[in-house]
Amino acid sequence: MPRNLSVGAPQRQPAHRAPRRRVSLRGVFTSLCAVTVGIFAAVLSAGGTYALWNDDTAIDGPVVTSGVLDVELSGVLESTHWSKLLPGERHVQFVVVTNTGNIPIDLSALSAQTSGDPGSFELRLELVGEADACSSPIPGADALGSTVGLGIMAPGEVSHLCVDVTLSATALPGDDADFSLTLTAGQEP
Amino acid sequence: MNKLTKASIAGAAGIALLLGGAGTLALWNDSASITAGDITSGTLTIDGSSGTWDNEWDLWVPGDVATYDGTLTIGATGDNLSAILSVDDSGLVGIGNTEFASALEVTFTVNGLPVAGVTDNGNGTYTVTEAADAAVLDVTVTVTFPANSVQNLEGQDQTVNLNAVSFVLQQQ
Repeated sequence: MPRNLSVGAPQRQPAHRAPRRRVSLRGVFTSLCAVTVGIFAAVLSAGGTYALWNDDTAIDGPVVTSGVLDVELSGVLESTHWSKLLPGERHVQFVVVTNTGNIPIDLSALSAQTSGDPGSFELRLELVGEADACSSPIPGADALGSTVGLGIMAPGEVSHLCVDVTLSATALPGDDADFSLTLTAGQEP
Repeated sequence: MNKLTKASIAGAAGIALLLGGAGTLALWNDSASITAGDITSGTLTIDGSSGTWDNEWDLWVPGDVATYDGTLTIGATGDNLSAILSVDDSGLVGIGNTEFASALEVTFTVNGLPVAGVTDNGNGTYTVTEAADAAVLDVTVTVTFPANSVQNLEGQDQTVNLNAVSFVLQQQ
Protein backbone atom coordinates (compact mmCIF):
# COMPACT_ATOMS: atom_id res chain seq x y z
CA MET A 1 0.00 0.00 0.00
CA PRO A 2 1.53 3.14 -1.04
CA ARG A 3 2.29 5.54 1.64
CA ASN A 4 0.66 8.86 1.53
CA LEU A 5 3.57 11.25 1.54
CA SER A 6 1.61 14.41 1.27
CA VAL A 7 2.28 16.88 4.10
CA GLY A 8 -0.79 18.87 3.33
CA ALA A 9 -1.90 21.38 0.66
CA PRO A 10 0.02 24.71 0.82
CA GLN A 11 -1.77 27.61 2.39
CA ARG A 12 -3.16 30.03 -0.13
CA GLN A 13 -1.64 33.45 0.47
CA PRO A 14 -3.61 36.57 -0.24
CA ALA A 15 -2.49 38.49 -3.37
CA HIS A 16 0.12 40.98 -2.28
CA ARG A 17 0.01 44.25 -4.06
CA ALA A 18 2.71 46.87 -3.76
CA PRO A 19 1.46 50.00 -2.08
CA ARG A 20 0.15 52.42 -4.63
CA ARG A 21 2.52 55.37 -4.83
CA ARG A 22 1.11 58.80 -5.24
CA VAL A 23 2.81 60.82 -8.02
CA SER A 24 3.08 64.54 -7.27
CA LEU A 25 2.51 66.81 -10.28
CA ARG A 26 4.62 69.44 -8.62
CA GLY A 27 7.47 67.04 -8.42
CA VAL A 28 7.11 66.17 -12.10
CA PHE A 29 7.08 69.85 -13.07
CA THR A 30 10.16 70.60 -11.00
CA SER A 31 12.03 67.73 -12.56
CA LEU A 32 10.99 68.80 -16.04
CA CYS A 33 12.26 72.34 -15.37
CA ALA A 34 15.54 70.99 -14.09
CA VAL A 35 16.00 68.90 -17.21
CA THR A 36 15.14 71.87 -19.44
CA VAL A 37 17.61 74.12 -17.65
CA GLY A 38 20.23 71.45 -17.87
CA ILE A 39 19.79 71.11 -21.63
CA PHE A 40 19.86 74.90 -22.05
CA ALA A 41 23.06 75.14 -20.06
CA ALA A 42 24.59 72.41 -22.14
CA VAL A 43 23.73 74.27 -25.35
CA LEU A 44 25.32 77.48 -24.00
CA SER A 45 28.44 75.76 -22.83
CA ALA A 46 28.93 74.33 -26.31
CA GLY A 47 30.54 77.70 -27.33
CA GLY A 48 27.88 80.33 -28.05
CA THR A 49 27.32 83.80 -26.54
CA TYR A 50 24.39 86.06 -26.94
CA ALA A 51 25.06 89.71 -27.68
CA LEU A 52 23.76 92.63 -29.69
CA TRP A 53 25.31 93.02 -33.12
CA ASN A 54 28.39 95.16 -33.68
CA ASP A 55 30.95 95.75 -36.39
CA ASP A 56 34.06 97.91 -36.68
CA THR A 57 36.56 99.19 -39.23
CA ALA A 58 39.97 100.71 -38.58
CA ILE A 59 41.11 104.05 -39.95
CA ASP A 60 44.09 104.16 -42.26
CA GLY A 61 46.48 105.72 -39.74
CA PRO A 62 50.27 106.06 -39.68
CA VAL A 63 52.68 105.41 -36.86
CA VAL A 64 53.41 108.78 -35.25
CA THR A 65 56.22 109.81 -32.95
CA SER A 66 56.44 112.69 -30.48
CA GLY A 67 59.39 115.06 -30.58
CA VAL A 68 62.17 115.75 -28.09
CA LEU A 69 62.91 119.18 -26.61
CA ASP A 70 66.37 119.47 -25.12
CA VAL A 71 69.01 122.19 -24.82
CA GLU A 72 72.55 122.15 -23.50
CA LEU A 73 74.83 124.92 -22.29
CA SER A 74 78.57 124.80 -22.27
CA GLY A 75 81.22 127.31 -21.24
CA VAL A 76 81.28 129.62 -18.25
CA LEU A 77 80.93 133.34 -17.60
CA GLU A 78 84.07 134.45 -15.80
CA SER A 79 83.38 137.12 -13.20
CA THR A 80 86.99 138.25 -13.41
CA HIS A 81 86.20 139.75 -16.81
CA TRP A 82 83.63 142.00 -15.15
CA SER A 83 85.80 143.23 -12.32
CA LYS A 84 87.45 146.58 -12.00
CA LEU A 85 85.21 148.12 -14.63
CA LEU A 86 85.08 151.85 -14.98
CA PRO A 87 81.78 153.75 -15.46
CA GLY A 88 80.53 153.05 -18.98
CA GLU A 89 83.04 150.28 -19.54
CA ARG A 90 81.70 146.97 -20.78
CA HIS A 91 82.83 143.45 -21.36
CA VAL A 92 81.05 140.84 -23.46
CA GLN A 93 81.30 137.13 -22.85
CA PHE A 94 79.38 134.21 -24.28
CA VAL A 95 78.28 130.70 -23.50
CA VAL A 96 77.54 128.02 -26.10
CA VAL A 97 73.93 126.97 -26.50
CA THR A 98 73.05 123.80 -28.45
CA ASN A 99 69.59 122.59 -29.40
CA THR A 100 70.10 118.90 -28.72
CA GLY A 101 66.45 117.99 -29.30
CA ASN A 102 64.76 117.22 -32.60
CA ILE A 103 62.27 120.10 -32.69
CA PRO A 104 62.79 123.88 -32.98
CA ILE A 105 63.02 125.74 -29.69
CA ASP A 106 62.09 129.26 -28.72
CA LEU A 107 64.85 130.60 -26.49
CA SER A 108 64.43 133.31 -23.86
CA ALA A 109 66.42 134.51 -20.88
CA LEU A 110 65.47 136.07 -17.57
CA SER A 111 68.08 138.01 -15.63
CA ALA A 112 67.88 139.25 -12.06
CA GLN A 113 70.25 141.04 -9.72
CA THR A 114 70.69 138.83 -6.68
CA SER A 115 72.81 141.06 -4.45
CA GLY A 116 74.94 144.17 -4.35
CA ASP A 117 74.38 147.80 -5.30
CA PRO A 118 71.28 148.26 -7.38
CA GLY A 119 71.65 150.21 -10.58
CA SER A 120 75.41 149.70 -10.64
CA PHE A 121 75.43 147.85 -13.95
CA GLU A 122 73.41 147.18 -17.06
CA LEU A 123 72.93 143.88 -18.83
CA ARG A 124 72.27 143.17 -22.52
CA LEU A 125 71.86 139.86 -24.25
CA GLU A 126 71.89 138.57 -27.82
CA LEU A 127 72.00 135.21 -29.57
CA VAL A 128 74.36 134.85 -32.52
CA GLY A 129 75.45 131.99 -34.72
CA GLU A 130 78.32 129.75 -33.75
CA ALA A 131 80.57 131.30 -36.33
CA ASP A 132 79.58 134.88 -35.55
CA ALA A 133 81.15 137.23 -33.08
CA CYS A 134 79.15 138.89 -30.34
CA SER A 135 78.29 142.52 -30.90
CA SER A 136 80.10 144.97 -28.71
CA PRO A 137 78.22 146.77 -27.49
CA ILE A 138 75.13 144.63 -27.75
CA PRO A 139 72.36 146.89 -28.96
CA GLY A 140 69.11 147.41 -27.15
CA ALA A 141 67.86 148.46 -23.78
CA ASP A 142 69.03 147.27 -20.37
CA ALA A 143 67.54 143.79 -19.93
CA LEU A 144 68.32 143.36 -16.24
CA GLY A 145 65.21 142.15 -14.40
CA SER A 146 63.21 141.27 -17.49
CA THR A 147 62.67 138.35 -19.88
CA VAL A 148 64.32 138.74 -23.26
CA GLY A 149 63.27 136.74 -26.30
CA LEU A 150 66.37 135.44 -28.05
CA GLY A 151 64.88 133.73 -31.08
CA ILE A 152 64.31 130.28 -32.56
CA MET A 153 66.94 127.59 -32.75
CA ALA A 154 66.56 124.73 -35.19
CA PRO A 155 67.25 121.14 -34.14
CA GLY A 156 70.98 120.64 -33.85
CA GLU A 157 71.75 124.35 -34.14
CA VAL A 158 74.64 125.75 -32.09
CA SER A 159 74.57 129.39 -31.03
CA HIS A 160 76.41 131.78 -28.77
CA LEU A 161 74.51 133.56 -26.02
CA CYS A 162 76.33 136.84 -25.68
CA VAL A 163 76.20 138.66 -22.31
CA ASP A 164 77.18 142.32 -22.21
CA VAL A 165 77.79 143.79 -18.73
CA THR A 166 78.32 147.54 -18.65
CA LEU A 167 79.14 149.45 -15.49
CA SER A 168 76.59 152.19 -15.10
CA ALA A 169 77.69 155.76 -15.61
CA THR A 170 76.41 156.47 -12.13
CA ALA A 171 78.26 153.62 -10.42
CA LEU A 172 80.38 154.51 -7.44
CA PRO A 173 83.81 153.21 -6.62
CA GLY A 174 83.59 149.93 -4.77
CA ASP A 175 80.16 149.06 -6.07
CA ASP A 176 79.60 145.40 -6.71
CA ALA A 177 76.69 143.21 -7.70
CA ASP A 178 75.71 139.66 -8.51
CA PHE A 179 73.15 138.52 -11.01
CA SER A 180 71.49 135.33 -12.15
CA LEU A 181 70.63 134.38 -15.70
CA THR A 182 67.97 131.74 -16.44
CA LEU A 183 67.73 130.40 -19.97
CA THR A 184 64.41 128.85 -21.04
CA ALA A 185 63.90 126.73 -24.12
CA GLY A 186 60.25 126.38 -25.01
CA GLN A 187 58.38 124.67 -27.80
CA GLU A 188 58.21 126.91 -30.88
CA PRO A 189 54.78 128.55 -30.84
CA MET B 1 -9.91 26.71 -11.61
CA ASN B 2 -12.58 28.97 -10.37
CA LYS B 3 -14.70 31.26 -12.49
CA LEU B 4 -12.91 34.43 -11.49
CA THR B 5 -9.59 33.01 -12.51
CA LYS B 6 -10.99 31.82 -15.81
CA ALA B 7 -12.47 35.24 -16.51
CA SER B 8 -9.18 36.96 -15.70
CA ILE B 9 -7.26 34.64 -17.95
CA ALA B 10 -9.77 35.16 -20.75
CA GLY B 11 -9.65 38.93 -20.35
CA ALA B 12 -5.89 38.98 -20.35
CA ALA B 13 -5.82 36.77 -23.41
CA GLY B 14 -8.23 39.11 -25.19
CA ILE B 15 -6.15 42.13 -24.32
CA ALA B 16 -3.00 40.36 -25.44
CA LEU B 17 -4.65 39.56 -28.75
CA LEU B 18 -5.61 43.19 -29.23
CA LEU B 19 -2.13 44.45 -28.28
CA GLY B 20 -0.37 41.87 -30.39
CA GLY B 21 -1.99 43.40 -33.49
CA ALA B 22 0.52 46.35 -33.39
CA GLY B 23 -1.83 48.89 -31.79
CA THR B 24 -1.12 51.14 -28.79
CA LEU B 25 -3.38 52.44 -26.20
CA ALA B 26 -3.32 56.19 -25.71
CA LEU B 27 -5.39 59.20 -25.14
CA TRP B 28 -6.71 60.73 -28.29
CA ASN B 29 -4.49 63.18 -30.25
CA ASP B 30 -4.33 64.84 -33.62
CA SER B 31 -1.87 67.21 -35.41
CA ALA B 32 -1.83 69.79 -38.16
CA SER B 33 0.99 71.83 -39.75
CA ILE B 34 1.17 75.60 -39.57
CA THR B 35 2.54 77.49 -42.57
CA ALA B 36 4.72 80.07 -40.80
CA GLY B 37 6.69 81.44 -43.73
CA ASP B 38 10.42 82.34 -43.85
CA ILE B 39 12.29 84.15 -41.06
CA THR B 40 15.34 86.18 -42.03
CA SER B 41 17.76 88.21 -39.88
CA GLY B 42 18.77 91.79 -40.57
CA THR B 43 22.25 93.14 -41.10
CA LEU B 44 24.61 95.53 -39.36
CA THR B 45 27.93 96.25 -41.06
CA ILE B 46 30.38 99.10 -41.44
CA ASP B 47 33.18 99.36 -43.99
CA GLY B 48 35.77 102.09 -44.26
CA SER B 49 37.75 103.33 -47.22
CA SER B 50 41.33 104.54 -47.30
CA GLY B 51 41.36 108.18 -46.34
CA THR B 52 43.83 111.05 -46.37
CA TRP B 53 45.55 113.02 -43.65
CA ASP B 54 45.88 116.79 -43.90
CA ASN B 55 49.08 116.90 -41.88
CA GLU B 56 51.67 114.22 -41.53
CA TRP B 57 53.79 115.58 -38.77
CA ASP B 58 57.22 114.03 -38.61
CA LEU B 59 57.38 114.71 -34.91
CA TRP B 60 54.35 115.58 -32.81
CA VAL B 61 54.52 118.24 -30.11
CA PRO B 62 51.82 119.44 -27.68
CA GLY B 63 49.30 121.50 -29.59
CA ASP B 64 49.56 119.56 -32.84
CA VAL B 65 46.33 118.56 -34.61
CA ALA B 66 45.82 116.35 -37.65
CA THR B 67 42.63 115.41 -39.47
CA TYR B 68 41.75 112.33 -41.47
CA ASP B 69 39.05 112.38 -44.16
CA GLY B 70 37.45 109.16 -45.28
CA THR B 71 34.14 107.44 -46.02
CA LEU B 72 32.11 104.80 -44.24
CA THR B 73 29.61 102.51 -45.91
CA ILE B 74 26.74 101.46 -43.68
CA GLY B 75 24.84 98.19 -43.89
CA ALA B 76 21.75 98.37 -41.69
CA THR B 77 18.59 96.33 -42.20
CA GLY B 78 16.03 95.59 -39.55
CA ASP B 79 12.68 97.14 -38.80
CA ASN B 80 13.70 97.77 -35.21
CA LEU B 81 17.39 98.33 -35.81
CA SER B 82 19.05 101.17 -33.91
CA ALA B 83 22.83 101.36 -33.61
CA ILE B 84 25.37 103.81 -32.28
CA LEU B 85 28.21 104.93 -34.57
CA SER B 86 31.28 106.06 -32.64
CA VAL B 87 35.05 106.17 -32.82
CA ASP B 88 37.05 103.89 -30.57
CA ASP B 89 40.56 104.94 -29.57
CA SER B 90 40.92 102.49 -26.70
CA GLY B 91 43.43 100.60 -28.79
CA LEU B 92 45.81 103.55 -28.82
CA VAL B 93 48.70 102.40 -26.71
CA GLY B 94 52.20 103.70 -26.68
CA ILE B 95 54.96 101.54 -28.09
CA GLY B 96 57.02 101.61 -24.94
CA ASN B 97 55.87 104.50 -22.78
CA THR B 98 52.28 105.66 -22.65
CA GLU B 99 52.11 109.40 -21.92
CA PHE B 100 51.93 110.37 -25.59
CA ALA B 101 49.23 107.78 -26.36
CA SER B 102 47.25 108.75 -23.28
CA ALA B 103 47.40 112.42 -24.18
CA LEU B 104 46.01 112.05 -27.70
CA GLU B 105 42.34 112.92 -28.14
CA VAL B 106 40.34 111.45 -31.02
CA THR B 107 36.99 112.80 -32.22
CA PHE B 108 35.03 112.44 -35.42
CA THR B 109 32.19 114.07 -37.31
CA VAL B 110 29.85 112.90 -40.02
CA ASN B 111 29.78 115.55 -42.70
CA GLY B 112 26.93 116.54 -44.94
CA LEU B 113 24.06 115.98 -42.52
CA PRO B 114 21.13 115.54 -42.71
CA VAL B 115 21.49 112.00 -44.00
CA ALA B 116 18.50 109.68 -43.80
CA GLY B 117 18.80 107.36 -40.84
CA VAL B 118 21.75 109.16 -39.25
CA THR B 119 21.19 111.38 -36.20
CA ASP B 120 23.83 113.42 -34.42
CA ASN B 121 23.55 112.65 -30.69
CA GLY B 122 25.54 115.74 -29.78
CA ASN B 123 28.11 113.81 -27.77
CA GLY B 124 30.46 112.66 -30.49
CA THR B 125 28.29 109.70 -31.50
CA TYR B 126 25.55 109.14 -34.06
CA THR B 127 22.44 106.98 -34.08
CA VAL B 128 22.00 104.86 -37.19
CA THR B 129 18.76 103.19 -38.28
CA GLU B 130 17.63 101.14 -41.26
CA ALA B 131 16.99 104.29 -43.27
CA ALA B 132 20.80 104.63 -43.50
CA ASP B 133 21.24 101.25 -45.16
CA ALA B 134 23.78 101.47 -48.01
CA ALA B 135 24.59 105.09 -47.10
CA VAL B 136 28.16 106.23 -47.76
CA LEU B 137 29.05 108.69 -45.02
CA ASP B 138 31.69 111.35 -45.40
CA VAL B 139 33.59 111.46 -42.08
CA THR B 140 36.44 113.45 -40.57
CA VAL B 141 38.56 112.15 -37.71
CA THR B 142 40.49 114.71 -35.69
CA VAL B 143 43.51 113.64 -33.66
CA THR B 144 44.77 116.23 -31.19
CA PHE B 145 47.81 116.35 -28.95
CA PRO B 146 46.45 119.01 -26.58
CA ALA B 147 48.85 121.72 -25.49
CA ASN B 148 47.97 121.24 -21.82
CA SER B 149 47.90 117.47 -21.82
CA VAL B 150 51.39 116.80 -20.50
CA GLN B 151 53.64 118.29 -17.88
CA ASN B 152 57.27 119.31 -18.22
CA LEU B 153 58.79 116.98 -20.81
CA GLU B 154 56.34 114.06 -20.52
CA GLY B 155 55.44 112.19 -23.65
CA GLN B 156 58.61 112.92 -25.57
CA ASP B 157 60.13 110.49 -28.07
CA GLN B 158 57.22 108.08 -27.90
CA THR B 159 55.44 106.27 -30.70
CA VAL B 160 51.77 105.52 -31.34
CA ASN B 161 50.13 103.64 -34.20
CA LEU B 162 47.03 105.54 -35.31
CA ASN B 163 45.85 102.45 -37.17
CA ALA B 164 44.54 101.36 -33.78
CA VAL B 165 41.69 103.87 -34.04
CA SER B 166 38.51 102.35 -35.42
CA PHE B 167 34.90 103.20 -36.15
CA VAL B 168 32.35 101.07 -34.29
CA LEU B 169 28.70 100.42 -35.10
CA GLN B 170 27.03 98.92 -32.03
CA GLN B 171 23.42 97.79 -31.95
CA GLN B 172 21.46 99.33 -29.09
